[in-house]
Amino acid sequence: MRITAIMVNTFKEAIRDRILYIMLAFGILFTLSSRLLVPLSLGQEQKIVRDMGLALISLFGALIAILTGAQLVYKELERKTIYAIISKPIRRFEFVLGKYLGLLLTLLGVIAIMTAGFFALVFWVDGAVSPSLLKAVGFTYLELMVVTAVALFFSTFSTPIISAVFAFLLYAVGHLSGDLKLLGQNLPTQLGKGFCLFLYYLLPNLENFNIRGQVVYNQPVTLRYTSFVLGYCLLYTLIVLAIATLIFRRREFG
Amino acid sequence: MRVTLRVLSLLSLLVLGTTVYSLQTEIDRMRGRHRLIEELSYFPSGRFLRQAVLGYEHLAADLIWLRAIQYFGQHRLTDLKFEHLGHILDILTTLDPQFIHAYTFGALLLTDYAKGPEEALELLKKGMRENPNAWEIPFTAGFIHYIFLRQLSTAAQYFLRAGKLPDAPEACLRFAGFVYRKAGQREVALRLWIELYNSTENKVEKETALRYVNKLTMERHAELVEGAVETYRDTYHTYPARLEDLVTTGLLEEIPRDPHGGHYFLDPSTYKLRSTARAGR
Repeated sequence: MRITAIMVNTFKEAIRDRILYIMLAFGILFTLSSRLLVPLSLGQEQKIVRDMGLALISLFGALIAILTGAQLVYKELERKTIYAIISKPIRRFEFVLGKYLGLLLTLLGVIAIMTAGFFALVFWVDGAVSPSLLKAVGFTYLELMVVTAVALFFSTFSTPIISAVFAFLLYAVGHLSGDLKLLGQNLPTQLGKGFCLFLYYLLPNLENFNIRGQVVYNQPVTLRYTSFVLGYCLLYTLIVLAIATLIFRRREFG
Repeated sequence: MRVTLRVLSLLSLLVLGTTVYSLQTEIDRMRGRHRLIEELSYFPSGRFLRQAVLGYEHLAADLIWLRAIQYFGQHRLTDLKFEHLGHILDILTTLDPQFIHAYTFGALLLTDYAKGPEEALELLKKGMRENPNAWEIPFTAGFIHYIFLRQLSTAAQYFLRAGKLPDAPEACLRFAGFVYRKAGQREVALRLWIELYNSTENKVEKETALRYVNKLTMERHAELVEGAVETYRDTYHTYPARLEDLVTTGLLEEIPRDPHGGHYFLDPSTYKLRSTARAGR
């Protein structure tokens, strides 16, 4: 109940944020602008529209998650509303979880709007919409669940700018972590190898959620793969939120 | 109480972390190790990528280099198909046109393992256009023309061109000289491979060079031994039963040492030199 209250409150607060609308507007604009590339695509218009649409939903979703998530806790501190909240019988984990779920709800709305725009465009170009595209969007939402948790984690102990920078770097590294493993395998020393592999498993592997290529090329995504990625997403998020709560619990206010 | 809670929290995190590790390992297995590398072939060209990587083209080239090596290693151990190798190397050298080793090593791989020397020579020509002062590229072109295409005069021209460039080692002109003097082709090839073996730090290049050095050395031994067998037959009107017979009759000073690590013997039906370390020869 208390978590729901914080969640709803966070959602209301997030949808009042101007950044959200700016990003959303840009996201939709860029997605629709992929229609302009159709005459240049030499018969590949369906592929290009799908590729760009899915990539932009993922990119703008991540930007919104990072920029909004990074200031979640800090805003409460800045406005001193945190004192009003922690003076109530609310546990710190309820606060963190409520904030997280509130932001996820906001992102659900954002992704739904962008997906509607994207599907309308695909329908315009193709005359039909393949349901498998929804699967790629679903995986993107799972990715955003992890990215949001990471942004929230940073926001429990640093300023919005630093949190956003760290979260964005982690987002970039999360998509390149396959190379980290590769680098580890090619290093001559056991120490270097071990360190790279340690980082590989420690950092979020956001490429797990990238099935855009498979969807665009109509390749199957198995139920087994989906369930493993879902499991990874939930557990990784749980760990990040647990650590964020532990840090947040140690903070003294007042 | 607080301590117990803390220990419990840590233990739970450890258990969760281990589970995430297992999930990731399984996801990696399902995705396939070279999926990302195969995706490189979807890129239209390196020129497009060059714009897309926002000034980090050298870093991007390094990452692609790592993937190219992995791609090569993976396929060498499995299906020996390297159809995307040329494309990957093209992307890589467009992103970083000064990546000399990508041209020379890439050309060797393309010639020895992949589609053949044509694609390799295209890559080298691109390298020479981008790096007119790098001797390594014309030297490799000479190398491929000499060893794989047997186009001796073109090879000599490339060796000469390499030798005139700044910092070129004397080997370039030495090899040009060998070709112009029409030195024995096997001997020159052997020297070229030895030169490569000694000058590279690249493990795959060393292995390739050693493989060819061993092959050519065995060919040299076979010529020597089989010549002695012919003389034996002409003298004694029968074939030698063992290699040692050639030594005891003074036709061979000693039995040559098999470079593959096995030992030589005479094929009882054809009287050709065979190695216990190699099935074919």
